[in-house]
Amino acid sequence: MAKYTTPDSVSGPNLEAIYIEHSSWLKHWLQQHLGCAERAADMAQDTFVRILTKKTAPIIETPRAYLSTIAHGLVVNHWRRQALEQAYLELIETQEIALQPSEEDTQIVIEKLEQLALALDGLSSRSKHVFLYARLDNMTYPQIAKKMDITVNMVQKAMGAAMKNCYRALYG
Amino acid sequence: MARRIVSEVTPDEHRHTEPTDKQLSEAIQWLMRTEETMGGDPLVQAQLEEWLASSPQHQIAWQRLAHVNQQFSATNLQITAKNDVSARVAMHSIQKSDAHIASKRRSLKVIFSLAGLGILDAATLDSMGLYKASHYAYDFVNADLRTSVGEQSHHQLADGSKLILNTETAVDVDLAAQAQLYLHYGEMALTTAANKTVALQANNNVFVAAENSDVTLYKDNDFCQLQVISGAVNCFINGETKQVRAGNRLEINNDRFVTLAIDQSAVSWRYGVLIAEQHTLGDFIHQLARYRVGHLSCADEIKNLTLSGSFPINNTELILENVCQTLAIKQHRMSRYYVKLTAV
Repeated sequence: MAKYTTPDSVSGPNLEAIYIEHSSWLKHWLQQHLGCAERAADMAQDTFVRILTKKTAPIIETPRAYLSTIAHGLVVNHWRRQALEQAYLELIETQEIALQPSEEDTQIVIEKLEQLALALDGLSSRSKHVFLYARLDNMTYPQIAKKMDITVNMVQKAMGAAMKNCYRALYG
Repeated sequence: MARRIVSEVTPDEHRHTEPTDKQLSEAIQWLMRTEETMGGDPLVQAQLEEWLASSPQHQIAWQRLAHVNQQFSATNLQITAKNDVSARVAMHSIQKSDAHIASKRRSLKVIFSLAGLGILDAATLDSMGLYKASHYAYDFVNADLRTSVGEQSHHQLADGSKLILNTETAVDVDLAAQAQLYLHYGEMALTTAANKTVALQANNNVFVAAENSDVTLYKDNDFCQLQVISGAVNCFINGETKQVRAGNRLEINNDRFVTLAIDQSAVSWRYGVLIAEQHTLGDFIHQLARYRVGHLSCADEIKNLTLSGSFPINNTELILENVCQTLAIKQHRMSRYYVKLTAV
């Protein structure tokens, strides 16, 4: 009979025990912040899936702190998506976006915006601007420098910071 | 918080190949140099090759960076010809969502440490900056209390204090050695027990009610009103402290606050009664509207009529009839949910 040694993933008895002991607490915690029981239940499930699919095995010393840290991230992502969707739909409504996109296109755009917001999260407003001008408007660094009234050197620095942020978003 | 909540075990093979932060920065520098020269400078290319060959981590960083670049490239981000997203649109949306998240984070429950039973250390509070101290109390007894429009509810808390929620109110309750109540919106009344203090929070203000105190707290967006019927309350407002004693009320608008005499008519709701003492109809209707679903207003020409009386809140229809009869005005109804009082 195989003994449990140091597990490679958390999916062993460790997570199971945590699930049994803390899942209803987590659901309650999420409901407090989301105000919706159904969504809270979904997100509690997502939280455990998130831990299951983690590449590295966490040794969970304080389960509730750990669970709520992950769940907190999911809640914030949920808020982010909601807000991005609303902001984009407002732009369509006020016709700041010239063409009326189809519903499917709109969903794709919102998804892309979400990716961008996540990748740029935590950066300065300058870095975000520089990155978006370069990537979305295809502007060169000198063009961006002129537009933002900063030096090319500052543009490069901001761009470097943005690239690193994007890298960290994908690879940690 | 220095407490370690989790330790991540990285498999050994990864530890050797993971590029360091410095190596990543170098890779980014190389990428920007090649972009600058459009890959057309043989000298730059040769130096890059040399850099890549000098370490496997360099190669990993470089490959990943290429992938990142491709993920966030213009072609990958510009979705359809019909529907490209400009930097301006993206920036606008991202800024809006950042602001939204910041404001929502503020509504997350803020738990702070209390030095000893009922003694709130102002210096600790100050240096902690309240908002930043938003770690969660995992072992607290939690309760979420809510009322809908027109509803009131009474609660006996485990520490012996009594809590009443007025119409359309949300309160989080944490019962630890020090009981804490967080008012999300609406109005609550609290009677503290003997030997027990209770910390109330609304917006970023903290009010510590002394034992045997009777208080009400109302919050509407940035506005907060604390009324102290008996006992005393220590208030912590934006780094300042203030004690409010029985018979007084404190009004806070954003960060400005003022102390006034208690408004007796505004605490009678605790007994299910709405009191008017020479109130203008406009003010009275504004109060009454809080207890009714839908639109309730009165026409400008009658809003300065005054009235006095006490009205049981549980039947707003009856109150409206009563008021109309007394003041000789009439109800203009578009539907059950739209009522406007007008002159006859």
